[in-house]
Amino acid sequence: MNWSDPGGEDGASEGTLLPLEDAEQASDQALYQGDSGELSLDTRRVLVQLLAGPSLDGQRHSRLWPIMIRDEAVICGRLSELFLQLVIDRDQQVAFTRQADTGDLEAPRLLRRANLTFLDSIVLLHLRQRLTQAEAHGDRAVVSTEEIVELLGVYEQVGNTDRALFEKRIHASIEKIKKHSILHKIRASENRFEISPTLKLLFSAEEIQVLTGIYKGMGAAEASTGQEEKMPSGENRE
Amino acid sequence: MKADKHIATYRRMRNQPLWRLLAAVNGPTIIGLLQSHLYEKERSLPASILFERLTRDLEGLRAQGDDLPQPAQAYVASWLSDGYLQRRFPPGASEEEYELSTASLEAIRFLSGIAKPHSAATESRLSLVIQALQGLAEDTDADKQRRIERLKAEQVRIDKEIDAIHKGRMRVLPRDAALERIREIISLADDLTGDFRRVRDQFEQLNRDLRERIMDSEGNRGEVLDSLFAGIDLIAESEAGRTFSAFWRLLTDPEQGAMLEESLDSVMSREFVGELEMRERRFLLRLTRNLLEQGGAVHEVLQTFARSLKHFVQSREYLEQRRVSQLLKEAQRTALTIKDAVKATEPLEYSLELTSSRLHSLSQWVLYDPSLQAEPEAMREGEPPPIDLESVSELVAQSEIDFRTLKEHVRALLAERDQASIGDVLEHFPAEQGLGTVVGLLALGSRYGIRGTLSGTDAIETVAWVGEDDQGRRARIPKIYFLRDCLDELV
Repeated sequence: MNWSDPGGEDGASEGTLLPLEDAEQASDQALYQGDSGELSLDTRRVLVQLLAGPSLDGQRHSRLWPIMIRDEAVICGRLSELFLQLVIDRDQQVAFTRQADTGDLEAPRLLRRANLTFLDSIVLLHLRQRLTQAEAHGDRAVVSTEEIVELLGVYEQVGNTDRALFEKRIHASIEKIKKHSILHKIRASENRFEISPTLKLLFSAEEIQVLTGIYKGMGAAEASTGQEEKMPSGENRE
Repeated sequence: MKADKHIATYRRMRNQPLWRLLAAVNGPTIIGLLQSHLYEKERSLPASILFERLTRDLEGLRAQGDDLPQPAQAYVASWLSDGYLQRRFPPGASEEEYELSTASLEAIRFLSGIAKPHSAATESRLSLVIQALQGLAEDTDADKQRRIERLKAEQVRIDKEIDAIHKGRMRVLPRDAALERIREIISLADDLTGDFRRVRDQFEQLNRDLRERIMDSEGNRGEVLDSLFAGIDLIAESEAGRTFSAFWRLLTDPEQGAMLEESLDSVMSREFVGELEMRERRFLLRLTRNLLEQGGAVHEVLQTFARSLKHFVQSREYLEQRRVSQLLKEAQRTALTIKDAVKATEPLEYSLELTSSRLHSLSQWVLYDPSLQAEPEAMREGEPPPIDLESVSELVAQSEIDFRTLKEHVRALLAERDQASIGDVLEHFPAEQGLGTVVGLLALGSRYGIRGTLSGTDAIETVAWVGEDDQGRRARIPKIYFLRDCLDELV
């Protein structure tokens, strides 16, 4: 893997791979009028793909992937200027950006965040669980809408009379999650989706704990606002 | 009552897919469809292709008056949940694939066995049993003296047979007996290919069990983990794994493989083979390839499982997974405790970080142009893209173009004029090889001709010819001239 050596000295062999010169050397070569950039065309494409998101995928972007591996250092540098961090999973061949942990330094955020409703978060937990199960079996994670609706039935409020509305809301949550590229429709299969393996990285163990904390907080708040003995009965459920 | 046990077993079996499929009201239709799509030629199909083929068949059946109201997708879904089909999503595939479950495979084999019975007690089957028994008796005999005696007796028998052949008395297996024996071999080999599926199922089950046990064994490492850490390949060391490996070694052994090929070749050259059905002959011709292919697939599965299981353990991935599943369970439990108090649509003070950014710039503001909303004009046919010279030379390399005739044509034309483009040549001499002729002329042109100016009207010309299917065709090609000056080179 001589590609993983960013800005390697071996200019000749890289030149045969790519029509454009190495990222370091291309500084005096403007690509278009008014161009004051320094990176090669392909490296810039990688950068834009990473910024536009949601990910750079070795299978879908087979031409850009090796360039990203080769120019990882340069790309990381450019992303740092925007307070972003590059995450690469070489096994699964995906890379994406994450808001850098800037500690005490208050930095502007470029990446979007999805605000979740209670139901969204439950769907998300369920998807994450399916992903873990599938991974444990060494399979790809596939879900269908019917299956999600069925499994989330337990979260329907006691005494709810409008089952249809509840289902509609689940569908809306699924749509939302689809839009954020966490679910991908599978070709030729009605209502069946693959759960993107990136969810594992987006929704980490720490995030799950944060969410649990928020649930607990909500439960406590409800209890203290006079709802009679919600907590004890809730705990008995376990 | 003696029958109790049997009855209980059969009751249980009747609830399982194999029997349910045989007893299904639509059984004959289902089995027939499954057999023709997923058994006879291909053993697995991508969803879209299976749906398409089934839809076609269902239409045909409906036209014959069968009551099959549902679309193909619905039938596939119910066969899937009944356990007649299996669905997989292989790595790298863009859609899911379907294949028969072991149950429906067995149902099909069972039924085709009954549909085409071979005489139950055949001589060849008996002789197979006798041979096998003899072999076993000999191979398990520890008595030196007896073994030597038996080998000597064998020697005497062989000598006698050679002697008989010398004297012109050779025993050739009669035609009918030979046919019976080869059918027996076919059925044995067919069983073998059927076994592969079961072995693969066993591997899958084993892989799943092992991973589940790794996940469940909390805290202390447990025996599965211990063995895996000790480098023991639990899947290959399982009973199914060992049996399969032995089989695979035999099959891929060069000597054995050559022997199998050779014997097959000789048998296929015998006259009695002509009596076999087409299907049976094809089976024999493909036997080695099929065994290698299907066995290879199982072997691959075995390897993949072993590799991923090792990775799963060595990378300590299972620890992280255990932790995540516990956290997920806790989160879900907590969510359940508050579900009656919190509305489903209530926003949380939690947001999921996404990995895409959205840039907003004033420059993105564009004036509204009402004409963009207007109905588009009728679509025009686009110009076909040009073929570059490199792909032309590739085409040339792949085809047999009659260059001699083409050169003659060019020379004939250059005898009359100073220069000729490819279009000119085609005008005078029809393209006998269709596109091949055009490609051939381009190849000649790129070697002996000169290109027109690289831009402007002299860069490209449009040539027309009539293809072998009598369809008129046109192509835009770079304009290349043959010059009289280079006549000498065109020999």
